[in-house]
Amino acid sequence: MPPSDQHQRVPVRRLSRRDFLWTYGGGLGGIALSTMLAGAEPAGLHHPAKAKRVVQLFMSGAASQCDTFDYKPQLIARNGQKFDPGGKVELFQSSPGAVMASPWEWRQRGQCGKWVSELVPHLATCVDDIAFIHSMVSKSNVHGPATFMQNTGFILPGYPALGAWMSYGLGSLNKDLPTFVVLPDSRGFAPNGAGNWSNGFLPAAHQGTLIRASGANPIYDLFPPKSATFINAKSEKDSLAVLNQLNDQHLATRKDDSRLEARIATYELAARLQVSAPEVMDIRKESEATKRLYGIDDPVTQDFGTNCLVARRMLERGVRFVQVWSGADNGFPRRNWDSHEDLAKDHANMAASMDKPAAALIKDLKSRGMLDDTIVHWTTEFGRMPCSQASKGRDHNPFAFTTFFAGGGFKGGISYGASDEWSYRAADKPTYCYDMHATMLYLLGIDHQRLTYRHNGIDRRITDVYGEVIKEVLA
Amino acid sequence: MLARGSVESPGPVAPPGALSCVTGLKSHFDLPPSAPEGQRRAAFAQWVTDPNNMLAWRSIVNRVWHYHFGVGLVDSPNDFGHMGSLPSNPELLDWLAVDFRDHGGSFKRLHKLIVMSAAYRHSSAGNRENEAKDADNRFLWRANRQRLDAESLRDSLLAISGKLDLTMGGPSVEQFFFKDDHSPVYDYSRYDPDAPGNYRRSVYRFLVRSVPDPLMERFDCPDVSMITAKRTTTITAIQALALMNNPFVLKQVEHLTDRITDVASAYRLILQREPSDKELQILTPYLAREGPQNLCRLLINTNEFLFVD
Repeated sequence: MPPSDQHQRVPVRRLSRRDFLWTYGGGLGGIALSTMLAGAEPAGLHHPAKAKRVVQLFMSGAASQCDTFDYKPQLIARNGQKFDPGGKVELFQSSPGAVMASPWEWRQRGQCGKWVSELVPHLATCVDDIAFIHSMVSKSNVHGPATFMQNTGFILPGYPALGAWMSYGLGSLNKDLPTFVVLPDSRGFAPNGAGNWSNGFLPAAHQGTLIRASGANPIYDLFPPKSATFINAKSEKDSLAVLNQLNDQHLATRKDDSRLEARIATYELAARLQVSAPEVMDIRKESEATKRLYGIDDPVTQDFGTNCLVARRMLERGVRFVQVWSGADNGFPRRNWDSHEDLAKDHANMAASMDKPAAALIKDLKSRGMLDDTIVHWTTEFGRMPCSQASKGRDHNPFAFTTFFAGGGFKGGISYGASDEWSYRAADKPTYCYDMHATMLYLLGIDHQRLTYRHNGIDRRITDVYGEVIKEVLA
Repeated sequence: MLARGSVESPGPVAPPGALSCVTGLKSHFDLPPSAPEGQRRAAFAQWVTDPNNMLAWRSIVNRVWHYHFGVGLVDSPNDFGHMGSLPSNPELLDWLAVDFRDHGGSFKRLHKLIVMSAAYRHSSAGNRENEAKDADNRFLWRANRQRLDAESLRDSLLAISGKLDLTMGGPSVEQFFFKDDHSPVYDYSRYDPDAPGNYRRSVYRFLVRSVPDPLMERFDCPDVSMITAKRTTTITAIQALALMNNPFVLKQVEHLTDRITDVASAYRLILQREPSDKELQILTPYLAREGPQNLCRLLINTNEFLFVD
């Protein structure tokens, strides 16, 4: 069950079990709709929440931990020597090369003295607001399953993403926009495509809504195609009024069915979405300083920067979960973080487009007082190997990678867990997506063990049968 | 057996067999551990379809009942075990199961029996007295008003536009743009809504497990990588947008427009009835103001079109 008492919030006259289940299953047309109509905050969380919303920056293709935030002097000292961490080293698509030091210099940053590489100089200025987890482990070293795992807690398709669970559990904070929004890299989707923001077996309304910040039709079917010339603003107004009239007459003899009424309301919501969606994506009114902060003025950072800025605007307007993708699929030329061939070149490109906007988002949220109740989550599907692949690249490493959190009740300036001296395996406090999801849900006021949905006889959770809240990273 | 699923801890060999809790059947198949795969499968198929395996017969008739009524006699169609629900009408379930079994497992007969029954032919109109006793309608004193599911909606649109292709069988139809790449591209928006393959019944759609059709998904067509016994049925603003603006839907509206002459003919085609005087009063001037395409678009957006009484 979702953590709130739906009976209190669903405006139906007759609450048969059928209607009750149906209505709370309805999301944007059900719980969220009722919340939207009421304009109310969901009551009845499992415990007081620190955070209200989440923005997740997903580095598709696997961003290297040992070239960004997981500093290992051993790699510098042993650069070029045989990689021998003990035991057989199994890689995804190559045989282990020599130990490869990061091509970037490392420096201690912030008051906390966190070692950060020169690959991410802007995020380096945020370390005092960040909780790093260096002992992340994945159950797969293949992009698709591992990306599913970070998003849904399962390596197989068909399970709901964290944003969908949040939508189901918490409902909406706003009247005009979807609850769970996804902003893809303009070059395309990560492996699994829309499966990464699937509602799985949860009702369809909890699915992530794909928004292309730079498109004329930013949401699928938001407006009629240009070819439909019989539709214009005047006819649309006329049509909606007549539609309501017909639907009201139909309803008059079917008053006992709350779904019919709910559907009438969805047409009002749809009309509001047609106004609010373009508004939230219109960044022209943002100050020049803000646009510069996000790098909108620079072609390198423009795409990810625009998405990050739009993400902030959505969070301001009450979107619960915004997922922003850095990187598309694993194709060539490289357009995500999957740097098998040339790490120095390909990671440099990806970091150059991501680093400044990501740091801008943290700083901007902070200066607006929103970082206190917004979780910024930076993650990827797995890490990269400390040894080289064909001398210049790095292969997949599911045994250790780094994810970080800022704001929303996370402690700043700390690092939790550790990889071994090579950044090869999680050595101290191995952490899975289950713990990561449990901790985020905890800060949102949800006990991950009680956010369940019965599917095929099993009370499903995003954390499956695992998950520990990581208390050490909580403020 | 692999202890705890680990390939590194093999246990004893498990011979072919089935559930011992299903009474009246042998759970051991009397096949040697070395029996070839084909024999094992055949033995299992025989176990499932054994005339005495009431679990299988009950389960399939319940599933068909579920599709017709929107809820099964057992409302957990994939679960007849301890975690499942009890049947609302156990005698009926057994009777249907036996009748189905004893008539060669004829689905046609089963469908006919169900749709010709008094229970199926109820109206969905409410009734205060019965409402108070059985608000869930578990005892079927009325019909369950059902929202068209994704496939029915799509097929209905094609049927009224005059384009539905009733060809049976054959390979499934790829209703999307496809490009083979490192990550293959399946793009539904780049597919011509008027491509002949698009007129086939929804049951013949090629289902891409990794990239579902957004229009179908919007109307609760489940993720095909999951076994889904019961669909959730939602009503969302995104659905309203799809029925108003989706290129496939609007294409059918165009075809539909060619088939109507006035409000009454639009009603007969789209809502299968004559319009009331009041509806004529509202819609005749609307038709004059906004034209036949808008009239058709309006009628497919009514609750009456999407819900079956």
